[in-house]
Amino acid sequence: MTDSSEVTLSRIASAAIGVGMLVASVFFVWQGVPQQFASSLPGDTPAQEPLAVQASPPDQRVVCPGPVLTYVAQETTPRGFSEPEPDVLGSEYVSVELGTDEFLREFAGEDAKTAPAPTYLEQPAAAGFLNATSASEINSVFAWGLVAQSCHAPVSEGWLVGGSTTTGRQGVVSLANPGSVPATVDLELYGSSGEISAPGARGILIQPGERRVFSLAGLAPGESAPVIRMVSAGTPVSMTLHTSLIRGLDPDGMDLVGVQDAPSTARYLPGLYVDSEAALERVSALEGYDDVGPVLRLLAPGEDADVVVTIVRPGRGDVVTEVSLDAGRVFDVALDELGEGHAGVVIDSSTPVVAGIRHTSIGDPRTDLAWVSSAPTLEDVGSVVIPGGVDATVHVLSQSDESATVRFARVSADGADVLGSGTIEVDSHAVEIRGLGGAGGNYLFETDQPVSIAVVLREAGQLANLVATPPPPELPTVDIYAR
Amino acid sequence: MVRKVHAVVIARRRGDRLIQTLEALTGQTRSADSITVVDLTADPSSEEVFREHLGRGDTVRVLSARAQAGWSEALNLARAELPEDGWIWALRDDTTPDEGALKALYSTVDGAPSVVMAGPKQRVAATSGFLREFGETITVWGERQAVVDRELDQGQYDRMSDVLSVGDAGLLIRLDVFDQIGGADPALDPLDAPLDLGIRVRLAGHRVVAVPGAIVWVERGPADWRAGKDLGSTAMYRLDRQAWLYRRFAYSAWWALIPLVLLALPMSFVRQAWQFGVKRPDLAVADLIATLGALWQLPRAIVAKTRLDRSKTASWTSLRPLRMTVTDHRRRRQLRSEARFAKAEEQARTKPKPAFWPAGAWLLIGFVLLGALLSGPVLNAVALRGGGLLPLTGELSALWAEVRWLQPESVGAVWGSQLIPADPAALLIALVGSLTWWEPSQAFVWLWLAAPLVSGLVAWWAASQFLQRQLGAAVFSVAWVLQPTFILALTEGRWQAVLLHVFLPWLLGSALTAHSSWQRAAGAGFASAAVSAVAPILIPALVVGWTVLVLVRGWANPLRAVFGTLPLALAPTIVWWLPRFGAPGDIALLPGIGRFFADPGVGQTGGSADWWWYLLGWPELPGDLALAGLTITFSTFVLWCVVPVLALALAVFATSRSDAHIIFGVTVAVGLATAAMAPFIDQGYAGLQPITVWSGSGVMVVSLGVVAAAAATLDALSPAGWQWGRSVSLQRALAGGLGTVVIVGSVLAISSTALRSWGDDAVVSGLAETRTLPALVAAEATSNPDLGTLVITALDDGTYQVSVEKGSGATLERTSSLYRLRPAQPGASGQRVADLAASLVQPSSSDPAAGLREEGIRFVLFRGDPEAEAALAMGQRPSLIPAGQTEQSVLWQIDGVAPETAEPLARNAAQRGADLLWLVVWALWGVLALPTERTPKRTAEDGDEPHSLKELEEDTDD
Repeated sequence: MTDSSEVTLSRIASAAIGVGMLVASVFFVWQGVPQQFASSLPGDTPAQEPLAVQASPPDQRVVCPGPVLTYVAQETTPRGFSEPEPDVLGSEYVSVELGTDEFLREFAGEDAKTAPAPTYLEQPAAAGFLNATSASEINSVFAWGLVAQSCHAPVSEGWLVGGSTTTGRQGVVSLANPGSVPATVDLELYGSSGEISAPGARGILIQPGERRVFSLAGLAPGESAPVIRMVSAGTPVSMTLHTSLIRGLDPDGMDLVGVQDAPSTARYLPGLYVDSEAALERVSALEGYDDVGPVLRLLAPGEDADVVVTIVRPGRGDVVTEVSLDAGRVFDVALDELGEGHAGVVIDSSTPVVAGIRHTSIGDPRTDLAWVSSAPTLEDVGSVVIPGGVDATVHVLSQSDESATVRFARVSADGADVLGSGTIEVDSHAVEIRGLGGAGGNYLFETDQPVSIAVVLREAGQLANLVATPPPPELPTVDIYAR
Repeated sequence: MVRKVHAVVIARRRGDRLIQTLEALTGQTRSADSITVVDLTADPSSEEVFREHLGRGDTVRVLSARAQAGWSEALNLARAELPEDGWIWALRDDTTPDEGALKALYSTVDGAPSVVMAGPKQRVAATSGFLREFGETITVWGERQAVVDRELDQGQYDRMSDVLSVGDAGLLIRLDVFDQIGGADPALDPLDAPLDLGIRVRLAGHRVVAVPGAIVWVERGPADWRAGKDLGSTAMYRLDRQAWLYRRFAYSAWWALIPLVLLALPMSFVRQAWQFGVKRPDLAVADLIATLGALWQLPRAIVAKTRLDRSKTASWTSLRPLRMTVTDHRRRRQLRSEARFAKAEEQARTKPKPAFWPAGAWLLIGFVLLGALLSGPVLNAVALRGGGLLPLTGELSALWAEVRWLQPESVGAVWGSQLIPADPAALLIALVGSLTWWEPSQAFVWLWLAAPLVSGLVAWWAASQFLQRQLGAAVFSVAWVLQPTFILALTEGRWQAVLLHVFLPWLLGSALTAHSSWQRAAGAGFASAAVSAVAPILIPALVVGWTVLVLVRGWANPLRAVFGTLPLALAPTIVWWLPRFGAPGDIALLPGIGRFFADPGVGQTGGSADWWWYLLGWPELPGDLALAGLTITFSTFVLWCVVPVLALALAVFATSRSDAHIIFGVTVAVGLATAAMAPFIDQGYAGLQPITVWSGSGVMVVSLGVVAAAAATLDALSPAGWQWGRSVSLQRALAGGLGTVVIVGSVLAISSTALRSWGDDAVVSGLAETRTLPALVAAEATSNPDLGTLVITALDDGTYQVSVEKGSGATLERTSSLYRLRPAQPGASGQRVADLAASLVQPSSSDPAAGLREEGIRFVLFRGDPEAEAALAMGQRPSLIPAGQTEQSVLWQIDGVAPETAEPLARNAAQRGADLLWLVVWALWGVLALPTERTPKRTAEDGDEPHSLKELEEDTDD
């Protein structure tokens, strides 16, 4: 090799080039020259923006309860009473019959006529309000009473507060799947002594378009105060409790109980009617009539709760009661000494609760019971379909700290024509009632404050409740990155 | 009869040589009867010079001719001024005759009437005693051959007499014969005119003799004399070939002319192929030019042919004894190649190569262990996933189908129905995948395990190109394999960077030797192309680096460097990238220059660091090491670790390794600038996050220079050889100690990063199956690779990201940087997919099944909580059949989807043309780059022995 100490021209030149490039590059990069050059080049990558996609909202769908089911004598399958044709508010709906086990009619003779199957109604979201009420007056040797129930939208989770399976009390739980895929339903039952173990209530498979019924007594035998929680996997379903009462040999009241929302710390129950003290006293003195007084049923499913119950009586002042609840144990509170008249109940709890009220209309010789469920909140608009032939009273319970103005309108069956309208002013946290007479009709409400609206259908010895429901919420847009 | 001798001096240049020639002419023992000077100097004052030396009598004639005139033209011009009879003695301004030259010539021809042409013995003017040329002949194929070629004149040819022809210097020819054969043929200037004269004289039935007694000192060959400089081998070859072809046309029988003309070009192509095969592309080009030139001269050849026909009396057969036999010709070629090889060997001895053994054995073991340490967790995997890694397709044909052009479906039909140029790196992926043709994904697992070994061996090879001692080469390859960029590449799944790490030493080694042979230059071309494919950001650095290197190394021969080495080095890259570089003009992309320089493959996010970290070899800050509850902050620790290597690198300027100076300067400059600019060049998104080009590619180039310079310093430090019996010198201990410090520092610096692949949060993970979608999808995809899967990913902020994947999921060979750089706004198909997804993730009245079938979507995969609202909403769809569920995803299937298998689009004319150009260039370069040359063996054992150098010196002194 060449002598390393020898200094040649080429060595000097190469070292100069090397050192020069080294020093120049370090200097320029230190000064940020290449960096500035690169960042000065045009073209910044924009941030990716999601597409806000609005899918077409799903069709509105409500499930009607169909014929009222109850057990006759010692039969193990219920029979269907009445042949209710629901009153419908809707413009483009279609009615679809649900598949069901065949139940005999009330008076099935030799020809063994079967009760009609329940239906569900379907209407595109754009076609406006869809609401319906299935109502019937039952008067036979096996059953008595006025039943009315708004057809419900199916839910993934719902609570039923009502019914009893003590002697003379019957209950049929009806589950219907109007969806397109099978639903797997779990029922959890709570009673006065806590959660009830019901193995048969787990993993109930309901095929699409099918209705299945279960005896409440089979799920919770001898329970005076059952509460049912329904959770559906796969697709939402509807649940209704058909409850009936026989005192001795005489039927003495029926009702359909609808689902209410998941537990919350505030519940609003407009639609309570209390008969006169005199009538109550008259009947309750009779044997077997000890349960005609109004009762508030409360359940705190998760944790113990301290509950403040306020009974709002228009023009007569509020009654406030405090109750402590054990978690998971249903508690019935008797609502005594309220005086005759309409009222609403507001529940303020420390932990989430569900609530329902049983009240009774006393006639002669029969009485009829009805269950008031926690009513949904109307923020904007709502609707209710009131059947004709029974005297109807609308309750508007304000949930707001400000006074509310509720405008209402009676419209034709397709919702196109306004047949009459009016305004109800409600003070803060008050109940306003308005008698609507017995003509029935389709009512739309519009409010500027959150309210709950219920309807009491009452004649002597006949009682039923309806609630006004808001239309399904509009679908939010979905933000999707689809680059 | 006494014929007069007319000397003709063809003077092209004035100067000492001319004066010597003129003086020698006047000083002849038998002086010429008249002297004619053909003045080609184009300078009116020249005549005075001639007159001054030759006298002003009327025997001296000065003729002016145009400066461009050749030897033949000048000779014919002079002939026209001479009387009918006599001899013409042709001299050039640089051919100085011995004082007895004319006498010897004349006495030879005077007694032999059949001899009409004679030539002297030509000797090399600069080297006394060496023969330059003595008589000319032709081979069986008609190629001109000197009878004697550059030999020491020991009188061995002094009995020679009859030859086919003689050279132009001091040629003596009888005037009447000169006229009879039609004079010299100017079309054959500057080379074959005297040969042609001799042949025609012979065919006219006369004799041509070489006269040993006459001596002419010749400075330059006729072609060099005419050009006024030493022509290179390429130019000489062109002139030689053109003259040869011309003579073939002129000498052939009439019936053979047409076949010869028709075959001229095809035969030239055959010869060009041969020249390519023997790594002489310059000669191939020269051959083509020569053939075209000869064809252009065809009319003149026909004239020459008729001229020959007129004078020809003897047959070609009669010339056979004077032609060179095949055996002689072959022997001469062999001798010449032996001489060349001996010269190369001699050069090689002065620059020994480091011996691979025994250090190589330890290196092999070390590299294998490093591979196991870095990639041990994926040892049993079939495919790799994570970072930039994806499985490959299972079919070899599918692997290669889109290495050049991507079908519209492969880029989501973003740009409609047109072929999209693939990233050049797709070819490399296909090449790597083909190594395990039965399961292409496996190749990447093996690459990960073998990468340190492969990279280390390539680095050793590169080191052997510019280092001489084993220590230097060992330090180079070990320090190179321990570079943080390489370790980061392996742990972050950057396959491009892993390949780049293998290619860079290859490029270094071939670039350093590119000027030495065309084979090396073509090989360097492929190395550049490979580097550009895996790191497009380095393309500007490649161009700058090559330009500097070519200017510095090729200073001695700029023509060869600029028009030979540089195109050879860059052409494979250019033709490979041509469609990809043209693409941004045709299709809509994100703005910015990232469209040209985006990393190939899957876009990845990368860490960042201050610019001075780049000099230390780190594109991002080193990770901290948490060991047994103790966290060691590595960023300060690493600083100390790299001090030795940086110090050694800077010390290279104190050594005499000029190539290392250049490497160090060039690589650090281009690498640092590239690395500094990379974080400012956007290259699309990784998920939703905009990403920039990885600065590690530039950092790797910086590291290459630092490591090479440090190794060169050690190489210069370490002693020449193991001198047994002597104690270990201080020098050797110093070099070895420094080398150890460098390697230990490198190991410590990367230790925290290297261990990352064993943690739970390792980026690269092995797959047991080659799929990225659920097994059911992969199973269906085997029978129908075109089925689509709509992947809906729930993001944390309640938004969704949707994409459609084909077959068993994304594969590495179909990743495209252009697709990554597609516009931010979704196109029509993106909008359709978004609409479909929106109607899926929430209850909706519209049935997406029809839309899904239309898009060929067979599966819907929801990535997110299976209990999320979106998953539940999808579950309520009767058309979505549940097909599986894990903790992070739910899969549905759609019935009745028959995705149409789109006919692959054919390339259009321009695309076919681009491919053809690419293939032709690569085929030519490939032939060139194949190492078929005999290379002299040079190992350290030979070279390091001091006495062998001594012997060599003695040899050359002779």
